[in-house]
Amino acid sequence: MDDRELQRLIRMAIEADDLAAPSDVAGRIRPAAARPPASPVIRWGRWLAAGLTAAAACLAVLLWWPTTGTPPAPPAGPNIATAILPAVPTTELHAPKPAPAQLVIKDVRYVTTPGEQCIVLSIFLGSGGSCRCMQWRSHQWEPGRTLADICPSELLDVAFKSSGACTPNPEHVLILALAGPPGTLPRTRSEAEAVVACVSRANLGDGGSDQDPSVYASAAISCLPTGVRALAESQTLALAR
Amino acid sequence: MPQQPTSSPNASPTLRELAAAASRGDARAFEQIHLRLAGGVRRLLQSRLHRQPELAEELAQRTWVAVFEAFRAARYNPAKAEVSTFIYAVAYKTWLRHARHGPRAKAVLNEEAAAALAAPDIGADPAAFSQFCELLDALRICMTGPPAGAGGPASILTDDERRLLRGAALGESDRALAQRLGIAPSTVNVRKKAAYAKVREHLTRLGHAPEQPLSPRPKPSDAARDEPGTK
Repeated sequence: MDDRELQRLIRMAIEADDLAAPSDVAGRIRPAAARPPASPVIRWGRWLAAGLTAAAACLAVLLWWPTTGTPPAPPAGPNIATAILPAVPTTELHAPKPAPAQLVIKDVRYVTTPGEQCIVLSIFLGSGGSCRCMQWRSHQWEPGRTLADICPSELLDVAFKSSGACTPNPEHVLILALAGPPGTLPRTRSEAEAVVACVSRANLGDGGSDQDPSVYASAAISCLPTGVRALAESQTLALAR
Repeated sequence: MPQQPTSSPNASPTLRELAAAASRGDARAFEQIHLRLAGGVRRLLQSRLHRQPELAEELAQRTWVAVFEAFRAARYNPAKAEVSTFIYAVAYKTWLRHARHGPRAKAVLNEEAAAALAAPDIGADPAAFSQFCELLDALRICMTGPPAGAGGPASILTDDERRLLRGAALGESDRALAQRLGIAPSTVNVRKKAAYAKVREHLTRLGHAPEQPLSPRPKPSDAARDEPGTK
């Protein structure tokens, strides 16, 4: 048994250990028995692409909409900011599906700590691939753990742990965790939106086909200062119907 | 087998206690095990089947059917392996059986541990399957350390060594590990090798004989054995 073999077995041991880890996300995923019998296979990659396109459209409209709507000022210093923005039609932009999208950014927390900071972004998509809402939150891993120790699937727990989804019946969620030294992570809403726009562009560039979640992580990193690391996970949810 | 503290009279039973009860035929204990571990099984399979949540759900259900059958036929011995390890191994083999016949079969066989590939399914050879679970249990203890107050032998790995091996197992590069731990990448490599050697030595002491090369890759006959309906 060489080192590589041992490494693979250790990964399995870690996975076995994680099996017993408590999770509140388990009950949120629709069991097979509760599904409609003739439920078609969902191509979530396409849905995600449509949703991210809608998100990009939302952001673009907001940026070019100086007279209507007055979004609240970005947070200054350690605080909690909540911003609810008006519904924005996406038909004028090149969204693949003309779905009314609502962009809600809430629960933005900035905690100043001397060590590595981490922010978790959850983009919730509804039916038709529309962007329902996004959540930004700071997150502290357990002592001794950093983003490198986290399994992508754990991000689901983080996304739902404190407040659940920010919209009823989301169909899909894309979760992006960013970690880096203080000062390198987005601190204002516009900076956060810029990261989402980067992720959206990466997705559009590929034509919206099925993507490995790491593609979104790479896209986010490309728009952030050196030293920032990212981890992404996407998941079809099962709350609807 | 990782040590678990026993529960006080008012606390909810530990997984080990539930496993012992379930293996004696206690249906409610089995239900409790299912309740506690179903989410983990689902997460595991979903992480392995990123874009196929429906399939992950189906394999999770197959896993639980196999686990239930194993309990009913007394093929699981709670004294030998932790129940979470046992259920993990069943889920893993369920996924593997599916993956071996998928489009990425070759990649899967290259990426997975030879020991895991060589381990039989629970129905084929319960003793060998149990041995595989014991190996995983031994590694779990290496990676988590003995629980506080367990009174067992001291951990064979230091905290730093555990962090290194965990990071490496989860795909972190030497450079990233070095940056995180504040040491040189070459030092990471040296320490990793030393830690692997300690683990290997520990497994040898436990009788897992890791110095022996395990069967490297499944032979065609192994794959045929896994074909549905060719038991």
